[in-house]
Order: sequence, then C-alpha cells, then structure tokens
Amino acid sequence: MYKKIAIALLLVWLPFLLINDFYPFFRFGMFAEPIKPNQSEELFILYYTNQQNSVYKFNTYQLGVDEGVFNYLVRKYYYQNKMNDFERKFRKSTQNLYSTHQDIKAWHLYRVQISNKKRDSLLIATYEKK
Amino acid sequence: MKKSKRFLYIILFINVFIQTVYWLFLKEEILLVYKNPQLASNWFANMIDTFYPRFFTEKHRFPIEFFLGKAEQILIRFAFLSILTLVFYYREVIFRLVILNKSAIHHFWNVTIHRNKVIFLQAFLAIVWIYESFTWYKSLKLLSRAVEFYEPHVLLQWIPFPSEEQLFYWFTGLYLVILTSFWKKWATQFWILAISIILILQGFLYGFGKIDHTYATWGYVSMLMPFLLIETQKDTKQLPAWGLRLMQLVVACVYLQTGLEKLMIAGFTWLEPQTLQTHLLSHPTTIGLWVAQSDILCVFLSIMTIVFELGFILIMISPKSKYIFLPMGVLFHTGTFVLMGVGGFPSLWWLVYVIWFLGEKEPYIDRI
Repeated sequence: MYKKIAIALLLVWLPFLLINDFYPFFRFGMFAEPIKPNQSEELFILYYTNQQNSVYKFNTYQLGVDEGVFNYLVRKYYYQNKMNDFERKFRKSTQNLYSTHQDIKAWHLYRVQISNKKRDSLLIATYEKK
Repeated sequence: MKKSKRFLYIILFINVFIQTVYWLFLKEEILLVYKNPQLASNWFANMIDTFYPRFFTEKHRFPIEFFLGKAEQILIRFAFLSILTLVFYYREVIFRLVILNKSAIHHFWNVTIHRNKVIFLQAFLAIVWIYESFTWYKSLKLLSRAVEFYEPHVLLQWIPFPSEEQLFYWFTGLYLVILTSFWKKWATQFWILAISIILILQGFLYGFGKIDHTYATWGYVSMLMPFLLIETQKDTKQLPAWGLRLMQLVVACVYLQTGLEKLMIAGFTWLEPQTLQTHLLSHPTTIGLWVAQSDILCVFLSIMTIVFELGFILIMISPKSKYIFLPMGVLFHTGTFVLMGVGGFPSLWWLVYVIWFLGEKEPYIDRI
C-alpha cells in the first residue's frame, strides 16, 4: 500500500518539480508568472479578402480551433522560422472550406502587439488562393 | 544500505547529481541552445524539443535569464524535496514523536468506506465523464479539420488522430466500457480501461499545444478509483479506504502546488494589485472589470487565494477544517468563473469535494 501511495504522490509532484506538464500529470503554473510593467501582449490575426476586396476576420473555429490555440500555433511556427510549413498545413486544412468560401482571394496574417494601449500591426504573410 | 532509508538515499543522490550536472554542464548547454543551437549537443536540443517544446518558440520573446531562472527553480525544488525527505525520515528526532510517527501515519490511512459509497462515487464520476464527453465529441469532430497541426503527446505517438467515423467508435467503446465497469467481477479492469480511453481522448484534445486544467483533479480522482474498486471484491460492507484518503491527499497537493507555484515564481509581488488587475483585464467580464478598479479589493482577493491554496492541505491534518476550506473552494472557483470567465459552473474542481464526505474514520471491522 505505501509503495503505491509513494508512486502516486511522486507522479503528481513530478510536473511541479520539473516545471512542466507530463500528461496526464499537470503543472499548475497558470496565473503564477509575475506581471512586468509595460508588458506587451502579442496576437496573431488572420484576415481574408474576397473578390470584391472586402476584408473579413477569419473565424478560427472554421479550422476547428479557438483563437487561443490558433494564436499558439502561429506563434510557434513564426518564431521557429517554419512559416512555409505553416502555409502548407494551413492550405491543406482549409481546402475543404473552399466550397463555403468560394470567393476568397487571399489570406493575410498579421502580428499585432499591444502595449501601453498602443496597437502595432505587422503583415507577416499573405497566402493567395491557388 | 539500509532498506528503510533507500528512498532517502536515492532522493539525496538525485539532488546532488542534478545540482552538479547543472552547474558543470547543463547551464552551458542551455546558453548554447539559446544563443547558437548549432553548437549545442544534438541530444540536449532534442530533449528540450521533446519536454520543453515552447523553449524554441519563447526564446525569441524572453531573455536567457528567464530560462536560466526556470532551470534554477528546478534545482531549488529538488533541494526542497531533499530537505522534506530528510525531515520525514528523521521526524522522530525532530518532532519528538509528537506528529508523523508510525502510529499516526497508520491512523491517517486507516479509513473505511461503505461498499455503496464506492459504487456511488464510481457512478458520479462516470456520469460526469459521459456528460463531458458530449462536448469532447463535438470538439474533436471540429479539431479533425486541423489535424495537420496535431502534435501527439509522447505517450500517444502511436495512436493516430481519429477521423469523424473513428470518433464514433471511440466514444461508443468508451460508453460500453464504462457500463461494463459496474459489473462487480471486472469493475477494476474495466474502469482502468475506461480511464485509459478518457485519457487518450483528452490527449487528442490537448494535442494542439494548449492544455487546460478543467479536468485535472477530476482526472486524478478517477485514476485513483481502481484502488477503491479493487476492495469491492471483498465480501464485506465496510471496506478499507486508503485509496479514498489518497484521492483527498492528491487533491490537497494540487492546491498546495498552485499556491507554491505563485510564491516560488513571482514571490510576494504576486500579491500586488497589478497582478490580479492584469489577469482580470486579459479575461474581461463585467464584474471582473469593476473589481479591477479597486487596488484594495485586488490585494484582498490575492491574499485570500494564497491563504486558500496553501491552507487547503490542513484538511488532511484537521478534518474539521473541511467546513472552512471546502466552502472557500466553492467560492474560489465560482469567483474565478464570475470574475474572469475561467472554468465553468458548476466546476469539476469543487464537485470533486464529494470525496471528503464518503469515508468513515473507524477501525476496519468486517461486517458481513
């Protein structure tokens, strides 16, 4: 009995010791990071234009993920200089959406930085519809 | 080596080993991976990519001090674990036999539970999992569109992300296995299978980079359930319930970890009003934005959070304090939902408190 208890407790404390999630055991560091003054927030937002050049924000749920996950994914590919990979995967994932978005002309991916109530946007990629 | 102290020696050895390797070798490797990954050892870069994949994303946003700080946190935590283990092994010298002696520990684990309460807990866990699975089914169907971006966890590498059709079979299988787990003879085996399927499905959901803690304590309790179910094979009404005690201890440890994380990562600056204000502003709700305007209220709520999270473990020492900490927990999780929209109502984090109302503190007596 005590051996089983020790192993269970060790597994539960392992993520805390190594500061990482080891699924299905979790680290509970949410909201623990200190807040730095003038901390900036970074967002990745995807827009698309149609044949009439009207601009719309892309609803990430069409891709099956919420905005938080989408943000995480783009940030990862962007900072690891793997945007070609991202483009390939994005095109493959959205090809089935074409039937409902026939008039899409291009996608425009922006990196938005918000600090001190100032919002800076940078166009980081444009994907023309093939 | 004395068998009784083997665990202590292992912990002390790991601690000394990690500290030495870090200062002699790993620190340099982290600097290299950060500044010039080509020069770093391949195995080390691969290890970081496997266990800390965010490093290569976040290194563009944070200075090296941030990562060295995290690495040194691990050293501090191992040192802390060694001290705790030392204290535990020499408790009789340190505490003069007052607490934590052998009979106290035996008394602590000597809880019983009525057979019907085990079945009630199993049914309660099962019903909630089935209810939650309806949302999972919809989410996984949607996520199958983004399968290109799926990155399986280490344990799930060999299981492909399911297609819409396969999802149907995964969930049908899950429901059948959960139902079969109520067959007394095979309860433990089928419950383990059911939890394994639940963890695999959850792993699919978390395979896109974001892990959420909605099911954390509920999952831990479910994973420990076999320790109770195996006792139901005995032909007695009252069953030994050290498994139930372990569930309680694990949930209390989770709260302790959340409190320690805040103090160890941010220190007492976590109690400053800006911390809560920033979180409230980044998860805006009407009431949350109103609370964010008051520094005093933010400091008060932050202090109460730390008191609750660090104090929760007292339930394990003083059972009557559950009447303070469990209502506090309900308020805490409901408050997080109301102020920041995080979690839900009712939260599984407080529904799991049911485990504090099932055990009976009495000697284990066979009552047929």
